[in-house]
Amino acid sequence: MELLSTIISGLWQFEFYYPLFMAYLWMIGGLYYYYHREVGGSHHVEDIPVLSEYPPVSIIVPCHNEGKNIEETIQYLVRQQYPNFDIIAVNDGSSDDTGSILDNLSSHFPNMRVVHLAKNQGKAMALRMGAMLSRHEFLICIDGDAVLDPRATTWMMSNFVGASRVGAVTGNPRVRTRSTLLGKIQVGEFSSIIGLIKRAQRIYGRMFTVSGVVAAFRKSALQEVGYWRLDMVTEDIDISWKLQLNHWDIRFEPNALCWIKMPETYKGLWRQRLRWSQGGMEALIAYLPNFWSWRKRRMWGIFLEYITSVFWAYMMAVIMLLWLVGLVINLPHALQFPTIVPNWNGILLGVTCLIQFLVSMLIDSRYEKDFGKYYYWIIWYPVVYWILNVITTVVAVPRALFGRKKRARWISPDRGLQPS
Amino acid sequence: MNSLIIDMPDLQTIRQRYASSFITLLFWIFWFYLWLPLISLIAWVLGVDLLYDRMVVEGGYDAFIATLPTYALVVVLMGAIFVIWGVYNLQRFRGKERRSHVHPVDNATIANYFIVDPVQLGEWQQAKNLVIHLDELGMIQSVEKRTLTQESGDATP
Repeated sequence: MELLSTIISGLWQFEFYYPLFMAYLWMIGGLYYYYHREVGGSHHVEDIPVLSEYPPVSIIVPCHNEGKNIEETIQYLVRQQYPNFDIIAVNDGSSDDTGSILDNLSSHFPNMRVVHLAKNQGKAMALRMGAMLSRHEFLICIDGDAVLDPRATTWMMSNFVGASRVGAVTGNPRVRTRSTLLGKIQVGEFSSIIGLIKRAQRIYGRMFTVSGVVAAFRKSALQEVGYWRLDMVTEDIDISWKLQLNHWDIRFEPNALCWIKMPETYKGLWRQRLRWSQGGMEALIAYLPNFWSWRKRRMWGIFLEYITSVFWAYMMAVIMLLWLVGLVINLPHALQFPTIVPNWNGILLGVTCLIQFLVSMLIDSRYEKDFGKYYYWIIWYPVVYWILNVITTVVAVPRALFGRKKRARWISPDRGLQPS
Repeated sequence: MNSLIIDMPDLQTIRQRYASSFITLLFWIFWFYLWLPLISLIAWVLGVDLLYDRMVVEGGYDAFIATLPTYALVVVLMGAIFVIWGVYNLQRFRGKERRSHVHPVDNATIANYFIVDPVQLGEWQQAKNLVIHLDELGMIQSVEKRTLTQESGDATP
């Protein structure tokens, strides 16, 4: 019983220490990246870099039922300020008017091609077909509801030119849908959590994932690792791990802005996050055997951080459960949580969150004016994130472990509130 | 404001707006729940002695202050290791191409991987409009080229 008591007490402390210390690690990494790569005269979005060469690029746009969004997406793509690129729109068996809109658009743009998949095949297959049919070595893959900043292609390509070990470059997704509380929280999340973590991971040398909504790839690297797998619910996490396990670097390009629509309903957010959680777990299961390889040791940090965060979520669920049960049933002393008031440590965690948001907003304000006002809303994020993270992880792990492997198909996501 | 940003709370139904407000209120309550000891301390300063006993004497105020330097030390150590690792990588990899020059993947290799004919693949890559039929396993069954009428963009097989 003494041992059980010690274990429970250790777990309780771990639940506090892990997010606390990781927050500081992300901040230090993010700030290091910021002072190393972002501060200074020539690092602004509008100062498009001059490249020693401009290799041709194929922009692949997989889309399924994007009738409402696709025209805007394409209109921005054709305005890319890059001398040599073409667009391949892959209509993945849409049941709406996406196909005819694409056909119509392609008749106006000489550098646009359309590929129709007769039946819906899922994003991974749409990307595979787009890559197969592309004429160029470099690919930019962007979702059919996202808007790519006209300067983004050059910014992304600046990471490939002269760097033959770079296999992929991930862009900087910016949330467009900000009408609701959930929308505003995600604005902060993408800056505070995702942006900061990507910067820190770039300094570490390995990334958990590229952003599926906007990423550039070297086709020879994709060919080497076998392109996107068809049986993963998140193709972006999978491809990122495969590339890095094969010693390809992934870069983060904060100046490659991509405006995205995020869910603004609880149901939409839940479904999206559950998918992300399950995708991470599927990648972990698929590639964990590589953990023991000394040659692949640079991925250890990514593996360990992910495993620890899954463990953290499960332990948090256990503690909450014990506390709730303890309210009704008289549990053995070792299993009792008389209170889950976090006490002084709670304040420290609260203050840490506020500092983290401040740091990330400071870094991110370069990319948007008036960004500071979102600081007011970000206060909700830790709660939403922790609760959502705990529940989606608890649900996703058994799904990934025991779920029947099948082709991941499109599920039309919630894309926030949009004017009709 | 950037024209791409969609910030229109009016697009929500009244029910959605009320729900947001209610949930917002819950979040605020939870947030202050985290700050309970601090609020208690302020209450004590304002003369609520009982809370002083609960939070400072029993609540481990001294113990917390005593632990803070340890937390700071851990953060500094972790940060130092991280930064040293970053600088080390920078020194090791900056300007050095350890990977030999990468040859762009050719069509023969791609065609071999996707089990298609390389000549046909080359033709498909030049086509403006294609329809691909795939089987349940994701293998290409057939590919048809389409031509579009210029005015309407309507496809004809």
